[in-house]
Amino acid sequence: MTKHQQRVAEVYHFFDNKDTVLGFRKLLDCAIDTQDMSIYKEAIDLTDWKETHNHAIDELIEKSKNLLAKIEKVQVKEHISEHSVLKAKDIVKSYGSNRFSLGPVSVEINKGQVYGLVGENGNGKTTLLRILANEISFNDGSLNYSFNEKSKNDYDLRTKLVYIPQRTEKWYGSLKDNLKFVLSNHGVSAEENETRTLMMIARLGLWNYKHLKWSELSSGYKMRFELARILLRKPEILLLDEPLANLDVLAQQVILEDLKSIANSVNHPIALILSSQQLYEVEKISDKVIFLKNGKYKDNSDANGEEESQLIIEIDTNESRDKLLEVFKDFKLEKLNFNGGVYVAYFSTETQFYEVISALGNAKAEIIYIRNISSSTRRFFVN
Amino acid sequence: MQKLNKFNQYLLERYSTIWNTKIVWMLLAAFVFHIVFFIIGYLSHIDPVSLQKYSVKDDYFRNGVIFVHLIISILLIVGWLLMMLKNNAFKNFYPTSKGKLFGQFVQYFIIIFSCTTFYFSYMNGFRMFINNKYPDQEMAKNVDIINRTAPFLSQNIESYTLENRLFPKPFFALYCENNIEKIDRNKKFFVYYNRVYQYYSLYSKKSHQKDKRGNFIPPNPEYSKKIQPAYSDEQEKFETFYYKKDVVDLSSSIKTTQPSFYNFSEVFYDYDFKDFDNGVGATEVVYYDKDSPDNILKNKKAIINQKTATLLNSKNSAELEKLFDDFLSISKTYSVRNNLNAKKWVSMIYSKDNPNFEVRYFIKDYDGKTRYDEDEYYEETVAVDSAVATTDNAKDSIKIREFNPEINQQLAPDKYVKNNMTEYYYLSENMKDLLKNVDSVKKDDFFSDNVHIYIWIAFFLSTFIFGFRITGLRSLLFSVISAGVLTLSITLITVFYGLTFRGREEFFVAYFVLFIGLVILLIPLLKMNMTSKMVSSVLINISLNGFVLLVLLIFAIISIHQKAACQLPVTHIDYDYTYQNCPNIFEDLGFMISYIILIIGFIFMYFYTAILQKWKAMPE
Repeated sequence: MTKHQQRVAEVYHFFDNKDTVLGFRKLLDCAIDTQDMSIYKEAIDLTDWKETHNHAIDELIEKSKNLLAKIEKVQVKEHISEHSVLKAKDIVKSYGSNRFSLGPVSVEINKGQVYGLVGENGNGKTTLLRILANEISFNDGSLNYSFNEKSKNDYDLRTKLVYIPQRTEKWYGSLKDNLKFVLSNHGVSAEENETRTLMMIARLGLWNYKHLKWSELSSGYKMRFELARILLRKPEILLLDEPLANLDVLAQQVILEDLKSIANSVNHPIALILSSQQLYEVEKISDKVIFLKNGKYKDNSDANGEEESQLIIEIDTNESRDKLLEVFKDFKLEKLNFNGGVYVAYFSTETQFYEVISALGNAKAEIIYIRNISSSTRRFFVN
Repeated sequence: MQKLNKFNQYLLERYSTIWNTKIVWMLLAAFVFHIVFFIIGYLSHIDPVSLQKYSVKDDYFRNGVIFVHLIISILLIVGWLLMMLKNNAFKNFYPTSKGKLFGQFVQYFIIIFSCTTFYFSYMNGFRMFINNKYPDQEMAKNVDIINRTAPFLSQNIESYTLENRLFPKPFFALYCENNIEKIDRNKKFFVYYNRVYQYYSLYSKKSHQKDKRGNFIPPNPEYSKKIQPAYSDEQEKFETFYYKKDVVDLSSSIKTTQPSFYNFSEVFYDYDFKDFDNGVGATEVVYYDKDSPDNILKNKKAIINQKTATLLNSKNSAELEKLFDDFLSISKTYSVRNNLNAKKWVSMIYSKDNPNFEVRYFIKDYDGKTRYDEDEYYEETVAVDSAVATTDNAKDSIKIREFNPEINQQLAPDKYVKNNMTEYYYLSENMKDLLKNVDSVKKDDFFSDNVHIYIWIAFFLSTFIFGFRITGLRSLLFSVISAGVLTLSITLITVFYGLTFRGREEFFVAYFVLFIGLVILLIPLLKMNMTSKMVSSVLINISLNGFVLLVLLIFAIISIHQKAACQLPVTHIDYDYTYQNCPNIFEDLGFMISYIILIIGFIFMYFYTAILQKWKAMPE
């Protein structure tokens, strides 16, 4: 069973469980992987039908499965990534007379991987992303890219380094024309231009928004259109600065899920680095989370001595500190911090998370929220 | 609408740059306006009166059309920019190439050029109208009639005096001396009031030698004897000097010394001599001007003189009336104001007591109702305009009495004109203007004369917009400020240099500016990484906009060197030195230089796009 067939099978599973929302998006991902214009057209037609027949779920499932059957038959060439597409070694950047310095930072990322870049404001997230995108220079270290095709010159290289800043520029004119302009510039044949554009619009859930003006879009949809524009460029590496800013929680989850699944494409995987303040959401989809503090690098895979095996739990509760200490008295509690309305408890290595939960349950403590952040970069924030 | 949209999508999918620059739509819009201006041009001078003024080919700039043109051009360009600036592939790092970027620039140039050159369509419309309304053949026929009738308009007494006469033959070949100082009293001379005429045969000598100033030296022995030539004719390689030989007695041909129609030998209108505004109806002074292609003109004048004489001699009043009728009908067609009547006009010429056809009536060349009606002005200027007439000099007036003892009983020419002025008027200058304008609109090369200004407007606007598209607004504004500061500094340094060192400032300025220009040009070419992205963008913008000026400066430097080299030998000059005109690259190439620089400019832009890409890719 090929990777493509596996994916198709997953989509079948979604539809069997009547999860049409996510299922349909995954269906479109599989359709995109085929690179087959007739499949694209059918998928577009289906999207159009779906948007006009909102409540006919059974019919949608049937139609979707019919399309899936066709998609399944298409041979999809699997992309094998041997080299890391980006390799940064000991990058150092300092501003002015030692006011702020970033690094040394070393990053290596393969296609299909998603890295999250977190850290408090002013700790160099944007700077690092811009350095990786060749937007700004760095003082020391080395930065290498390895793309499918070798770049002819510096400009050609920049065309492949796709970076979306936090504040994107306004689009003028028809949104669809803007998208088609991208493909036209990238030398996509005239016959495929419209189809590919509509496919991308369908995939990013912009079908009902494609006739609007830029100023009529909410910031979430602006980000989606920006993403559509970028993805049409078929980037091999994608650097996003705060793509989740200004989005509500649900929109954040959806866009992250989309990013993850697009980056994991079978025949065109993308190396994706995104910066964000939404630690929890980012951590969920990332292969690695990089934490920057005062320009210094840490990540969640680092073996940091005792911290590595420590159990760190974040608890939001109305109970008093005394009550908590009472509950935890049997465990080897090392530290209990109260930080921004939540407690962070540090236990020694022997303590297990389930034991803590059951102790809290037995004590009938009122818990609003509890989370094991032992291997999360969250621990760097609360520390 | 749907078709337009479909075509737009067609362009977008296939030719993204063409879609982005909107060149198709802009050319279409420009074409529509070109047609509008063509029609305006065609209709602008339907009324012949509108052609009766000086140089109507400049009407475009005088009667407000230029403002309409400017407004339309500005609106078109602003509208175009608003549309085009919506998308910028280069800014977004979409793949591009040298050819694509250069193609974009060329499209800007074409768009701006087509949106700013309505003048040419207007002039073409105007020309087409003139060609249709005033066809060459008809005009040639009419001009002939007008030229043959002009002798009888008798508007300027100076045209009818003896020195004008060129027919029959002896008059053509002889030299008429009318300088009272040079008249030989012992030989036959003729007197009209205070003017004296004496006819001389001539001999000529050529001279090839030039003096220091580049003037030909008159031949010897005349030069050493200080014999003044009657007149001379200068060619490129030599000059022919004409000297008076013998006095010839023409009494048999001269029946009267009074102003007479027999003497009239002016060509009222001939386009080839349009630049000799006064020359066509000239007296001897201008007539022998060395630059005048005098032989052709002299022949033409002689023919007029002959035709007039023949007509008068035939005593056929019907033929004259027919000529006048034709003339007045042409005048009516061309709306030239007059109150002449063919019959009465003929009757003023033929009269029994005037067998020698002396001029005994004058026709005003202005309408009595116009501003010329004020008497004072009229007395001063009209009819007698020659310096010869006002010999106030006491010495001259004594001398003239020796030639003409009865002068006191005779009527001075100005009085004579005033006494014989009729109520008839004919606005002959208006006719002349109309004819001149018609030919000028037909024949003048208004395209080559004016195209350069539009070419360079288009080129500089294109480089400016291109710079904006490539580097962005901030860089462009900084570049403008930097260029201003640079200009100011260069000026100050030059002033300082001029005050301190003196002399050869032009070399200093030229080389100084060249040096700075080369530095600005070469830094982005060779050492872009040395400067910050902002500084390079300023240098790039100045290079983009200033490169052609730098080329012009190089031409200017060549030219000042040529000038300097040419001046040097003057210090060790001897008498035989053949003085040569200084070669000057600007004069040698003329307007060609504009095209040469333009081509160099485009070639530069093509290669410079690589630098633009390099700059764009440069990290900050």
